[in-house]
Amino acid sequence: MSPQSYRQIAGLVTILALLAYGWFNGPVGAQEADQTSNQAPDRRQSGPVPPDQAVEPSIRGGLPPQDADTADSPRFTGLPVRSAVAPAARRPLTGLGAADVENGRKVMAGAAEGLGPGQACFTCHGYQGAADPSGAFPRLAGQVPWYMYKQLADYASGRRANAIMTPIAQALTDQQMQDVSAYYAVQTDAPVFPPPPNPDGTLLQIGGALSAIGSAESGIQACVNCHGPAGAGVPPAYPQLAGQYATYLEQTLRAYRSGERNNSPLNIMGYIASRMSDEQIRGAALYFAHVGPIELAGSAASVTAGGRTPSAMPGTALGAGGPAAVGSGTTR
Amino acid sequence: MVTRMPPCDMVLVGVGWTAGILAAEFAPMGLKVVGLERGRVRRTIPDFQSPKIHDELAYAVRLELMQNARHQTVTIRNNTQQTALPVRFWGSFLPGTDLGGAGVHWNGQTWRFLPWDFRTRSASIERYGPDILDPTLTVQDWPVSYADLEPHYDRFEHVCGIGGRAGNLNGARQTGGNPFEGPRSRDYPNPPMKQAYAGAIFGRAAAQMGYAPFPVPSANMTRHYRNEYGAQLQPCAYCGFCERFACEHFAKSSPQVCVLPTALASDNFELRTNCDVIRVETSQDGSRATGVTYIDPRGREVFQPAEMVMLCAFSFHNVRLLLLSGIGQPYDPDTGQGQVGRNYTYQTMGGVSVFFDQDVRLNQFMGAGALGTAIDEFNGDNFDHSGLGFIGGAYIASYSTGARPILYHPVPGDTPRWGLGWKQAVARHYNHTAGLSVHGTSMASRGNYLSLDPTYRDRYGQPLLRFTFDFPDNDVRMSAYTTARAEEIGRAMGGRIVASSAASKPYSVVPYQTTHNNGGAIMGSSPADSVVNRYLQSWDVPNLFVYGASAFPQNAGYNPTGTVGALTYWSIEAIKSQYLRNPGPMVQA
Repeated sequence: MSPQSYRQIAGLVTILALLAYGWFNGPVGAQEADQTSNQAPDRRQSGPVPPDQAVEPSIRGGLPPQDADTADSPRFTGLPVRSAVAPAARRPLTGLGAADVENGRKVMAGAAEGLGPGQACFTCHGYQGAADPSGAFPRLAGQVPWYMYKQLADYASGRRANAIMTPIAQALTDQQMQDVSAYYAVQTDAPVFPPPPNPDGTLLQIGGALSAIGSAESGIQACVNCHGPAGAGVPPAYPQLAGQYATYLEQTLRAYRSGERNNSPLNIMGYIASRMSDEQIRGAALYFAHVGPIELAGSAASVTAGGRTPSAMPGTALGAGGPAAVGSGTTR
Repeated sequence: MVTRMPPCDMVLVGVGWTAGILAAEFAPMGLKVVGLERGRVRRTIPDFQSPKIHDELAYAVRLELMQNARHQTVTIRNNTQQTALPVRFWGSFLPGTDLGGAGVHWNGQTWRFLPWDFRTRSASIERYGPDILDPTLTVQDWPVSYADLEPHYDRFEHVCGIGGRAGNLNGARQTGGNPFEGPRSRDYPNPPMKQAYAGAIFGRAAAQMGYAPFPVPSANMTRHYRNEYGAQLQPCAYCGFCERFACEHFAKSSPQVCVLPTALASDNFELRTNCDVIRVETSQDGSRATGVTYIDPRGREVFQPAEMVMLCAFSFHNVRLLLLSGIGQPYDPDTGQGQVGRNYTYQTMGGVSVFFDQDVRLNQFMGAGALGTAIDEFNGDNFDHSGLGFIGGAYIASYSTGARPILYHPVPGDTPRWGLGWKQAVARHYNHTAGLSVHGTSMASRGNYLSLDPTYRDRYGQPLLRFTFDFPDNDVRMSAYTTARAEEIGRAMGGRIVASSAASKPYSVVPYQTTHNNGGAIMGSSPADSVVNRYLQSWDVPNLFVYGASAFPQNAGYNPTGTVGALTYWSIEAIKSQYLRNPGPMVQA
């Protein structure tokens, strides 16, 4: 055998080893992306990509070239976290009449008349809706669009009272509310700020069980009944919970429980939260923060050589959408 | 060797709506109550949660919440000239099984019968003379009146949290409700559902034609609600998965949600599941039930002694148990003698499909089991039957129950049955078709009855129940007439194509119609015309009671559950006030 043949075989073995590593360990895609791609470096793994959604028309043309919140996104070092939800195409704008994403981008950037300094959306929520790692502000990237629009309308009317958001929403026209909701809904490339490492495993389990089957003792039905598998959100009304910051989710559930927030239809969330213990609130918030945001198709980071997505491996496909979202399948 | 259990005060055979109510009423009073359910335990949490509970293939197609016809089924024929054959897969009706019974997979349409329905025979003769009754009909008056049942309708509606709009409050007409209903002593506990677009189009057309549309009374919750037992119900999300499914939201009244928690909280109630009752045992002289024999989960034959035996299984299972136990005289269609199995009735269903232009988008996937808009002008005796040749009628309703992807694909009649043409038609019509339900009375007739099959047996070696049923000519004429009225409304709705189909002979057990099987152990005023008295107490065996739609002498043009619930509370009141003090016949034969 010639040296060249040996090199070919060695190369083949290397490739196979890399593929095997990817099969069992998952994050190859993300690591490779670090080295080879100019995309956001720290994407979480995605679930399997259905063939018909694998090539999603890019909407990056309409985005700022390099946003502030991408620039310093930290490396993920927490629990094994992945998107439990099969990648969807970017959100359809269900429920929004004739929203203009490009105009929404301008609203986001503060172009609306009547918005004062510091009142532009990006100030708190980021250019792409990732907000910041503090978790004080909700992540809006990929959020259900009509839900966001309704929140803006409720802020404006005072139905959802908030010292910061109410004057901002009141400065927007109805069309601007729709546009900016559409803009954030279609953000597929926003960076991910992972939750703090070493979360309380007991709380995560409480949250995972609440998400999947609810609590018979408390009379609380499963979160996924309305919010979709693993909290993916069900347009037009039910917001995505997956990947939302635990701080924000916890704060929101407490506000529902106290009655401070009561703008869900028929106060359904107020009723549910009123039956939740502190532990259940913290558990649900922590759980959904760890499910990870929905990976949207078309991002280079989620596709590795050979067309295999890094998480298309035993364990994860079955886990998609199921109650075993935390800890199933992959480790990294 | 039969295992003998310690005696109890009351044994319930089957644990669905009626048994759940009985257990919730009697166990907290101090009676030792044992519930025997042939199926498994199941509860809202964890058994009914999403996404599994929306699996249309599992539940709507493969019928996972229903009795498994391969384990226990019935045989069927249209008339006594035929040989009955076993049903291998349910079609026309879907008997439930497991804890909660059919009360888990029902739609929640919760009606009261008309005052007329309880006097079908005498009121028809009074108004039209005796010739109005086809000689083959064996319809008879109920031994209770609407006024007798009103407080119990009211109670069941408040236990369930029914949402609706009253049409008659203590005799005063209410706009927006059903103007034909009997007087209500108080309003519905909850407001009606938000009406669907299809229902709104139907309601507009009906109103233009001079009819009075109203929202169908619904057990799908319209707000948070707490019933008298402390059960909490939550608002319906209009997800469109009621019929054939269980509700994950605590939003559809069911035994699990409304009554069983109270029963199960009592130390006096013991629920035993996977226990298949095969016989009611009676004393040697046959005058008294001593208990029931069942097959337990380990396959053992077990005897449960009881002071009172309550048959709470689905209607025709009650009839089969009576026949298997040799209680009462089986009905003979040739002589007209015997009561057990007599007056089996069904529901006479017509339907109209209204195919709209593509700019009418109905979005019926936003639905609920009892989300409907109805008119009652052609039900019961609400219209003049002179010269029509039939009695009875039907409500006409536009329902939006969910338009789920596998089973909902309405296409016009000239569509190819498969292939490209069919697919194009499905895509064209899916979101642009409204269906009208013509929900008709079912009159008892001499040839329709239930009996034990002479050939086919179940896994315990016991004969299957045999149905002998075809639509009486009276009902075929009724269905043709009322379906034609519905078709007129369909045209007024602006449909491009309007297609209708009324009930016709021969009755087929294959296409789904309704799970409203009634009669066979009917209530009446004497042992000569019925199996049970007005309190659902057996004439032959006074410590045996038979609950459910098996007691209906004939069926009204409504879904039966409201009346089943009312009869249960009516019977309970009599047991509490009379029977428990003085056990014995509450009506002298």
